[in-house]
Amino acid sequence: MTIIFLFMAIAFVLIGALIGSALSMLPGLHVYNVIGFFLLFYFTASFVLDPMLMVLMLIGMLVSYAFIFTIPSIYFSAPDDSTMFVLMPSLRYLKEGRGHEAVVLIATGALTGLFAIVLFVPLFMGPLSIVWNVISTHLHWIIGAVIAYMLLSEFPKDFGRHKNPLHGLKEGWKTIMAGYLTFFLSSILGIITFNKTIVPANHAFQSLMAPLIGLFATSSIILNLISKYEIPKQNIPKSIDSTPQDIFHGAIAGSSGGLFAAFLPAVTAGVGGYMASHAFAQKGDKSFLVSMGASRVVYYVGAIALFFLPVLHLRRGALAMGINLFFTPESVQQFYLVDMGIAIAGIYAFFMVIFASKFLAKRIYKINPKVLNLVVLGIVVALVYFMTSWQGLIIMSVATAVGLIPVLFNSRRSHCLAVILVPIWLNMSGISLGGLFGLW
Amino acid sequence: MKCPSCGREIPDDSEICPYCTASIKHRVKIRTIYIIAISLVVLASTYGVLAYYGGEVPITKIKDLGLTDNYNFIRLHGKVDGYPWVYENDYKVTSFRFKLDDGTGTVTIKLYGDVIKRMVNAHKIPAMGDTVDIKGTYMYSSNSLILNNIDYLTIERPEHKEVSLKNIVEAAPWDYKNGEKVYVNGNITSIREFSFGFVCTIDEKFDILIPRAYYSLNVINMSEMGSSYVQFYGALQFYQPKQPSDTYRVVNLPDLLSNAESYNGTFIRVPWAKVVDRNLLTKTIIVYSNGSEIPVYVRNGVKYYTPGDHVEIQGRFVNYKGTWEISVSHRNDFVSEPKWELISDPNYKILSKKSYISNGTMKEFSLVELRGRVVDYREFSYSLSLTVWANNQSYLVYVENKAMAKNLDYGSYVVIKGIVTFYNGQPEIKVRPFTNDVLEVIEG
Amino acid sequence: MKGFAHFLAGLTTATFIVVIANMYYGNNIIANEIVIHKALILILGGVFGILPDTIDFRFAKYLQKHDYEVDMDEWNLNPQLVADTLAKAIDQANEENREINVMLHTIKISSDQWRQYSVQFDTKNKKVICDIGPIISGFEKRPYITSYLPPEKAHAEASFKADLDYNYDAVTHVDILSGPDFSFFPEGNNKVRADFIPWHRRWAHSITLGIMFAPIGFMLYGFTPMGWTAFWVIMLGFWSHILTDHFGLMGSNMFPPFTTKRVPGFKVTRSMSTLANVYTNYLDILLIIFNVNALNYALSGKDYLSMSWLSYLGTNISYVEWYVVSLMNYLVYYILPPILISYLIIAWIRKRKGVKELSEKEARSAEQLEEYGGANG
Repeated sequence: MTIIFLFMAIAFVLIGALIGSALSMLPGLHVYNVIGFFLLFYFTASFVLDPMLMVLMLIGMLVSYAFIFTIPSIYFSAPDDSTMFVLMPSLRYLKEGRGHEAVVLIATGALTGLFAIVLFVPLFMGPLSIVWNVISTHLHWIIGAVIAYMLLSEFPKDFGRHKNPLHGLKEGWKTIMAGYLTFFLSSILGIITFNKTIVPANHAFQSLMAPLIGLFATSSIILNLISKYEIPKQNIPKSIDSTPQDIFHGAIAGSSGGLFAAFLPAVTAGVGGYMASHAFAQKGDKSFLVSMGASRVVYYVGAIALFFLPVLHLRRGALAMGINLFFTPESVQQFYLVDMGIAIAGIYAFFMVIFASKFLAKRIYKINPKVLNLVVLGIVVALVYFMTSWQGLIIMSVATAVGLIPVLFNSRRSHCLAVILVPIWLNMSGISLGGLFGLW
Repeated sequence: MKCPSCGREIPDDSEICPYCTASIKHRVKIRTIYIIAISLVVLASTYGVLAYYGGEVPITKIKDLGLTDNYNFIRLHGKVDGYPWVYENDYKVTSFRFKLDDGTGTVTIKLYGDVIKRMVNAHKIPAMGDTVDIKGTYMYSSNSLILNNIDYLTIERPEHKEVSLKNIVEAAPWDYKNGEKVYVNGNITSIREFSFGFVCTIDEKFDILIPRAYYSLNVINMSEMGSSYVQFYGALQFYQPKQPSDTYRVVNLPDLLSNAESYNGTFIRVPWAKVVDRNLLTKTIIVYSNGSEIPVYVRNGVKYYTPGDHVEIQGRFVNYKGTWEISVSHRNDFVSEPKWELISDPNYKILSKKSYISNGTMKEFSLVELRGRVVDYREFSYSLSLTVWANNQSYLVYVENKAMAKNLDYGSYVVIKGIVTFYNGQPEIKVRPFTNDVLEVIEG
Repeated sequence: MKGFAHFLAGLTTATFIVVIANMYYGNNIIANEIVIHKALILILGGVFGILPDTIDFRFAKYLQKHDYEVDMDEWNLNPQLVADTLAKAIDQANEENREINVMLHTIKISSDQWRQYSVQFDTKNKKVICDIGPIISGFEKRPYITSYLPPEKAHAEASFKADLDYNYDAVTHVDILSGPDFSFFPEGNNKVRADFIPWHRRWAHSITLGIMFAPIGFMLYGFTPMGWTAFWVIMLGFWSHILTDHFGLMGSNMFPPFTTKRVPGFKVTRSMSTLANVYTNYLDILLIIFNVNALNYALSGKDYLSMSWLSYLGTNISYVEWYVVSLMNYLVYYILPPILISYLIIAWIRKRKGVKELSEKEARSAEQLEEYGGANG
C-alpha cells in the first residue's frame, strides 16, 4: 500500500462522514436508504473508484449516522405526551431543558461503543468465531427464542383501576394487543416483501426499503406533524449528571446488546438493546441513554467490523450486504483500514454531534420542526419512488398505517421489526407461509 | 447558584436540583469525555500504521493448504506452470485461469468478470515461466485460488534471451531449460488452430504456441503479426509427441554398445539422436548419438524419418542376426521427433511491416497478391491445394484452412493473398487463416 | 429475577434435557430433529420458563377481587384514609374469618410524574403507618425535593387489634403505573397473615401447574421420543422458574391447591441485584453454548470447544465421558473465573467505598420492590 492510498483512504472516510452527518440531521431519514442510492451510482462507475475507497466512504457515512441520529431523535421528534404512559428518557430531558445533556450522554455511550468495536472486537476474534461455528446450525431456534421473548416479556400497562376482571383485562391488554397486531401485520408485510419482488427487478436489492421507511420514518414524521410543539429553553451544561459507574453499566449493556444484534441475523439494535437492558437489569435514565447510544453504534458499525474481521466475515446489516454486492473482504490490511476509518469517523462524528447539539440547543425554541419534517417527508417519498417506483409507494403507505399503530396505542415500536425478523426466521426454520397469502 | 443541568436558579446548598432532579454533587465533566474521544486518535493512527506497514499476508506453501484454509485469504508465490487458458461464453471471456507452481504443489488461479478486464487494461497478464506473487481466496474443493483484485497480482518476468532459429531447431533437450524466457525473430508461415490455441510455424522451422487466452483477450493481434517480421517473446518448452514410459531405461549410446551383452533384451530409451541414413526395404534407420551409431528397426512408419531429423527412440535392445539394434515393435515402443517450441508471452514486437505486393516476385517469406483462374484443386481433410494460372504462368497455392475457400470450382477467377514459402524446393503461396491472407472467388 | 433471566434459565434447562434425551434415545434422533429438521422444541423451555410471571402479571392480576380500593388524587391527599382502610381490613379479616384484599391506587400527575406514598406495618405496636412522599419522575423515581408535604400533613397512623404476621416487615412504596394490593388471611387465634401482591407467586408458580402443562409436549409431537423430550422440557423449564425464584426470600406456593401459603425461599441472593442477574445470564448463555456444541458433536463429531482435559482420557472415550469431562473443564476454565474475578473486584470496590450489605429487612424490601416493579416493567 502506498502512502497516497492511505491519505486517500482518510480523505474518503472524512468525505463520507461529512455527507453522512449532513443527511443524519434530517429526522426519519435512515442512512441505509441513502447508501442504497449511492450504491446504485457506484455500480455504473465502479471502474473509476477503487472499491476499498468506496467502502471507506460508506463506513464514514454509517459511523456519522450512528452518532448524529441523536440530534433529530431528540430535538425534532414530537414531545407530545398526552397519550403516553411513560415518557422516553430523552423526551423527559428535553422537557426539563436538558436536551444537550441527553445528547452528550448518548454520544458518550456511542463513544464507548466505538471503543468496544475497535479495541475489543479484534481481541475477541477467536471466541467469536468459535461461538459462530457452534451456533450457526441452531439459528432457527435462537431467533425463534428472541421472537418468543419479545412477545412474552411485555407486561400490561394500566393503572389498576378496573371494575371487574374482564374490564381489567381489556384495559391492561390494550397496549399488548396493539403490539401483537403491529407484530402480526408487520410480519405479514415482511413475508410478502421477502417472497415476492414487488419492486422493479433491477432495484430488488432495496426491496425492504419501502416497508422499513413506512414503518419507521413516515409514521413518526406524521406523528411529529400532528402533535403540538412546546420545546422549552435549553441549557448548555459543562458537566453531566452521571457517575462513571452509570456510564460503565450502560456501555456494557448497550455494547453487548449491539453485539448480539450485529452477530445474529435478523435481530436489530432495538431488539438487541431491549434484551441487553433486561439481561443487565438496567435501571435509570442515564445508563439507559448511554446504552442506547452504545447499542446503536455497536449494531451498525460493529456489523461492518464483523464483516471485515479476518476469521469471521459475517454478513450482517444492509451496509455489509450492499458492500458485498461489489466487494469481498479479504485481508487483515483491509480490516486495519476499516478500523482506522471507524475511529477517524468516530472522532469527527462525536465532536460534530456535540457541536450540532450546542448550536441547536441555543436556537431550538425558535425552530419549527414541522417544516423540516415536511421537507423530509418529501425527500423520503421521492427516494422511495425513485428506488422502487409506484409499487414501492403503495407498500410504503401500507407500512405507514402499520407503523402508526404502536405510535397511537403506546405499544412497543420494536414490534415493527417483525418485518425482518419473522420472514428470516421462517426461512431458517424451513416454514413457508407464503402459500397462505397466495404468493405461489 | 444555578443548576448545572437545567440552568434554573436553585438554593446554594442543594444536593439535588428541585426542578430537574439532577445531582449537583456527582457529575462527570464533559471535558473529560472530550479527552477520551480524542484518545481515539491513538487507536486510529495505530490502525493506520498497521495498515501501512503490516497487514501483508504471509506467503503460504501450497503443500500446507488444507480444509482449514477453505475460503481463507492467502498469498502464494511461485512460477506460472504451463500457459493460461480461458473459458468463453458467447465469444466473451468469462474466466481466465492459470496454474501456479511454487515447488511444493500446484494451484489453479481463477479470475472472473471485471477482474479480467482490469487485468487486460493494466496489461498484467501472466505467461508461462513468469514468477508471480498472488493473493486471493482459496477454495479447497477445487484446489483453486480466486483472484478478486488485480492489484493482488504482481508479475516478475525474467529477462528474455535471444536465440537464433537455427540454433533452437538443432538444440538438444539439455541445451535449454523448460520455461526459459527467450525471443526469436521471424515470419509466421503457417497457423493451425487448436482448442488450446494457435500453433504458428516461424520461417517453416520452428513452432510457436499462442495460447487461446491471449487471442480471446485481444492482447495478440494475429493479423498484424501475420503481415510483419516479428520478434516473438515467450518461454521455451520441450515438446515430446510421445510421452516416454518410466519402465524404459535411459541410456547413452556408447555405453550401451560397449556393454552390449549385459543390456541384451532390455527396454531402453535414447532421448536424443540424429538420423543419418535409412533403408526403406529393411525398415531400418541408422541413428547417431554421442559419437556412436546404431541401426533401429522401425516396424511402422519408417518413411517419416529422413536423414537429418532428430529423434527420440524407445525400444528393445536386441541382437538381430549378429548385429546389435534397437527394435521398435512393441506396443509402447516409439520413434518420435521431439523439439523445442515457444509458448508465447502476451507481448511481441513488430520489427518491420510487410505489405502484399501485387504479382510480386516469389521471394521467400514475402507477401504477394495474385489474381488468376483456378486450373486445378485438391481437397485434403483440413487444407486445400490449388494450381492457379496467372500472369501466363502457374502458381502453386496452399490454403491451410479449407473453410477459407467458398464457392471454389475449376475455372473460378480468384484473388489470392498469401506468403511465399518453399516446399521441396518449389515456391508456393501459402494462405494462412486468422491473418490478412485471403482466397476470394470473384466470379464463378 | 428479571424475566430475561427466567427465559434464559428455561432455555438452558431445555438444552440440558435435549442433550440428555439425545444420549438416552441414541442414534441422534433428537439432535437430527433439531439441527436438520429445524425443530423448535428448545424455545418451549424459554417460553415455559417465563410463563409463570406472564400468567401472574397478565391474567392473575386481574382476577384478584378487591374489597377496598384506596384512590386518592394530588389535590386530595389523605394519609389517614390509607392507614385506616388497611387497619380496618386487617381487623375485618380476623373478625369475619375471610380473606380481605385492599388495593392501593397510584396518584398520577402528568405522563411522567407521580405522587409517591409509602405504607408500613408496625407489627410490634400493631400500627399501620402511611407517609405521603414527594413527586417522582418516571422509572428512575427521582424525587422532586420541593414537592414534599409538611410532616404533619404527610404522616398518619392507625392501629389494629389482630396479631399481624407480615413476612416482609418493610416499607412499601406506591408510585408508578398500577399500585400494589395486600391480602389479609385470617389464621385463627387472633392472627392475620398479610400477603403483598397476593396474586403473585401463587398457583402460577407451582410444581403442580408445571405437571399440568407438561402434556402439551405430547400434543405437539405425539408419544414419540420428541414428545417425551418436549414433556420434560416444558415441565423442567417451568420448574426452573420456580427454582430460580426460590433462591430469593419470597418463595412461592408450591403445591396448590393442596397448599395455600408461600414456602419461604432459600435466601441465597440478597435482593434482586444487578450482579445476581448478570451472573445467572452469563452462566446460562455459556451453558447454552456448551450444550449446543455437545449436540453438534453428537451429530457431526465437530468439537469446536475442544477442552484440554479431554487429552488426559486418551482417544477412545464415550460420549458421556466426553460430555462430563468437557463440562467440568468448561466450568473451571470459562464460567467460574470471570464470575469470581469480577465478584472479587466489585466486592473490593464496595468495601473501599463503604457500601454495606443489605440487612435481611432491606433485602426483603428490595425484593418486594423488584417483584412489584415486574408488574410495571
